[in-house]
Amino acid sequence: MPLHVPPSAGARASANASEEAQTAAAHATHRARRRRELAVILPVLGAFLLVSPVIKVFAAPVALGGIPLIVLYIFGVWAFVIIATAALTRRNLHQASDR
Amino acid sequence: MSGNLLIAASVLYVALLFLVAFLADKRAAAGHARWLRSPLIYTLSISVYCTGWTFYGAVGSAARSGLEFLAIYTGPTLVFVGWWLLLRRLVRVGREQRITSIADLISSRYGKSPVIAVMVTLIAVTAATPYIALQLQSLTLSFEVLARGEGGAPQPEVTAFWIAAGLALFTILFGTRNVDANERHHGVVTAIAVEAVVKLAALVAVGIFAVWWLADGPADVFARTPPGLIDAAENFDARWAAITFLSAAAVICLPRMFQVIVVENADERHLQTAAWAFPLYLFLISLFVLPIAVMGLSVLPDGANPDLFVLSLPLSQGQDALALLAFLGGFSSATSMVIVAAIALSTMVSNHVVMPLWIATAQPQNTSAGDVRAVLIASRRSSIVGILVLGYLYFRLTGGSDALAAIGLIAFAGVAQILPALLAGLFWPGATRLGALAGVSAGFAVWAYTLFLPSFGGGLLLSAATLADGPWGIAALRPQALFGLSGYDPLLHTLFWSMSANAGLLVLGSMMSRQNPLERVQAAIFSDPAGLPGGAGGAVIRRSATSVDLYTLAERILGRPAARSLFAEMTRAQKLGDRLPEPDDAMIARLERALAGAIGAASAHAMVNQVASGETVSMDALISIADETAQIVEYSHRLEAKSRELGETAEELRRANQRLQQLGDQKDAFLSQVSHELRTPMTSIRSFSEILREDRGLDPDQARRFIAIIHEESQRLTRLLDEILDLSFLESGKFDLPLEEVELETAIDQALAASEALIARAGMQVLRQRPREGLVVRAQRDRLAQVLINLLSNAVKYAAEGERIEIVTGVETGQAWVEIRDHGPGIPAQHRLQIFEKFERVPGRADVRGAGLGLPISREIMRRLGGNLELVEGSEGGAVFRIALALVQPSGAGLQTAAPQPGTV
Repeated sequence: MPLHVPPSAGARASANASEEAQTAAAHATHRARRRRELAVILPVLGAFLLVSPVIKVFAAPVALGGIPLIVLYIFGVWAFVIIATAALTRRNLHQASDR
Repeated sequence: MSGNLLIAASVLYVALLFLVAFLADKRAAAGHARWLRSPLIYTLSISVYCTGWTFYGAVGSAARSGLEFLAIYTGPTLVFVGWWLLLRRLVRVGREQRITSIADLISSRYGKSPVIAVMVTLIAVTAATPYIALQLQSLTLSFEVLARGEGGAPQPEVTAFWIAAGLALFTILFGTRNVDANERHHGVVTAIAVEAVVKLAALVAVGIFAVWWLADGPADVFARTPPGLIDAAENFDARWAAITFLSAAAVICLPRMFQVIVVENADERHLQTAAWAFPLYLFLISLFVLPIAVMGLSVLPDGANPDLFVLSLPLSQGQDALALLAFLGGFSSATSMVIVAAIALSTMVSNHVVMPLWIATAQPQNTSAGDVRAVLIASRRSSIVGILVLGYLYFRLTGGSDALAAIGLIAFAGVAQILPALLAGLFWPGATRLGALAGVSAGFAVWAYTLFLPSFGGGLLLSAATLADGPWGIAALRPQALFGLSGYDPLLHTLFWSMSANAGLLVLGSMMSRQNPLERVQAAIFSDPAGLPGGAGGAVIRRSATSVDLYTLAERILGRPAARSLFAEMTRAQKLGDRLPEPDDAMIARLERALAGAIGAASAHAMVNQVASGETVSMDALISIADETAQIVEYSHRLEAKSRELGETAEELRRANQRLQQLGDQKDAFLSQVSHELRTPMTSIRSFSEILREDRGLDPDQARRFIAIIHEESQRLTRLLDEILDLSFLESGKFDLPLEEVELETAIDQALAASEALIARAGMQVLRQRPREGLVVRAQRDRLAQVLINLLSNAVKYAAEGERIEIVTGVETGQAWVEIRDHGPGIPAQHRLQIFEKFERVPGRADVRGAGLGLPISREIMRRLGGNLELVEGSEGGAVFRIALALVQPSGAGLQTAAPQPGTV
């Protein structure tokens, strides 16, 4: 004789829904944390690309489409960090607890 | 282009700015400041970073050293992209603590120290001097270039003078109209935002003109680049990193940048927009710098000043309208910088230099209301004039000949000296005031000695000879080759020595000194701004302030309406109805923050404390409080110990009392039992003797029988009294029974001899099991025999007639034992515990009569002999009593040595 009584369909559905909500909340927290981490990584990456000797690699007499490589590189990195920051701050980084 | 036209255009432009600023102020006052306080305006106001240096100097720098100019913008870009790390914290602390300037921030963090505020103000003013001179120089040069050929251009000194005067006037009119409670300037910020748009538009217009009008697009521009100008790898050596660092430091530490980023910030979230929008602004404004420089080099004749390419390029092509736009762009860049810098610096000077002096000298009690505001405004106005005069003097002294970028970097290196104290203040709670003061002063001194003073080229303090050979000819102290470190770029040289001294002394000083309590509180707030919303500020103890005094103070500084609404709000917060608020700690802290918005934290703290005539918690006060506390704690420990002792004593007394009560109860019970026991024989004696006395005709036999009964009863009485006496004698315990060595068998023999008649009368047999060797115990023979007799007579009484009694002797764990076993009915389980109580008798044969004292007496005797008497479980039914005694000689050896005991049998 089976002792286990299967939960009713309604109970199962509500359990699923709350599980989904929990997973969604966990994902949101995770994403918020990931965004804050990126907000720290981004300036470090920018400093690495623009201030470290890496920049010397691109300071060569090479031109792409008539524009010197070094100019393309610096303005390219610059544009990249601006766009990345804009994308990061599109959502409020303070939202999911910033302590 | 005529000088008059330029002046007219400038005046018109300034008038437009006036209008913008005026309208913005008006709207803000009317409460319609929402769009004035948008992230866009905030970002545009931050672009006050881009000054005449950017507008003119960047092109000059690009023409001279290629891409080096970009480092001035990559530094701030990295700081803003990393806003989450530093700026967010800075803005939050600034808003929570109502910070009015960078000097205020540093002084607040290090215990609201006035000394450090003065030091930072000094650095800021000194470093701003070349920077303001730079703006004057760029404006003067632009006038000169545009008015050239018309013959109407006045002397550069005259032009610079009038520019300086005009800027001072504008700044005074808009920067010091009121002493705002939160030190925000809506009108000025809006005007600055308009100027930001103008300068960007102008530079981009000139850029587009250069790239697509003068040249055939970007490829053509770069084809005209002199070889090695932009792709030289040595452009990105240490100097590149140093300038990036300096510009990053400057965007935080420059007083005007601090003013627009932190002080004028209306909403922390605006920073999120500025984080990408400000770098974007920098990106756009630098985009065309290189093409303009390249086209200037290629089109203009040799010897043209590269710093003025932005103007001379359109002029050379006859584009006067574009040149005018470019002029206005440059004018915007320079004026916005001077205005904001003058406002920020005048706030610092008046709050941190003038106010403390005024507080120290004037007696606030004797001055009429409004004096403080008048002093504040007057000091700010004169500071603005003073700062512009200094800039003008620098311009005159250096001759206005240097490249713009070189002058700007001197200023950057100066304000960068504030950075270590700022970062340590935000991220290192252990940094102390002494460390910060030592670091900042040392860095400032090294900067002034190795970079600032040499920039006069021997014109100020340091002579040309000192520059070349060091003071008094000491080569190791040459300003530009300190300790023989020569061959470096002067900027790198200064940066290395000043930052080493600065950071080194900051750490050393912090390690060697201690924070005072206020400093510790502030350090905690600054390290975790979100953790302590509002901040505790300086606690005032032993306060005697009245609300009226505090209100008077607030009215003087904030003005009547602001003070009234502030106090009304505080009253509401305390829920007091319509009275003045109670001057509690929270209220005073709040008032102090409100005043700090107008006159800086250190001054507000000093003023509130003076009025509150309380004392800030000093280290000494804290120590003495701590001492008192320690004493109290120790005293309470002692009290606790004492009360614990008392508790134990009381508990002992309680137990003793209980015991006494028990004993009393026992005594009562004993007495009642004794009287009961005595009563029965006495009654029968009395009744028989009455019969004998009154009945004369009694049968002689019967009379004899009665007399026998009387005799028997009196004997019982005697026995009973003997036993009671014996028991009380034993129980009193006042003396010891003298112990001797007794042979156990002898004592048994004695007991058997005494009980022989009794046993024989009952027709019983005694089975005796002797040990193989004699046992000697410590006892008293007569008493031991008494116990044995008692046990034997008990056995006779309770066992059935004709049964046998066994006496068994043995040894167990150093004790000799004797068991008296009978084969009677035994002791019922429910009586086993009671048989050793006095007067308890086990129901037995009807003819058995005893006082019920035998067993208690026997047990008492055994205990006094150091042994025991107990009832043990018998194997065959019947009662088994066992006595145990300490054995002297466990083996037969004792028999030979011990003297033979005389037997009684």
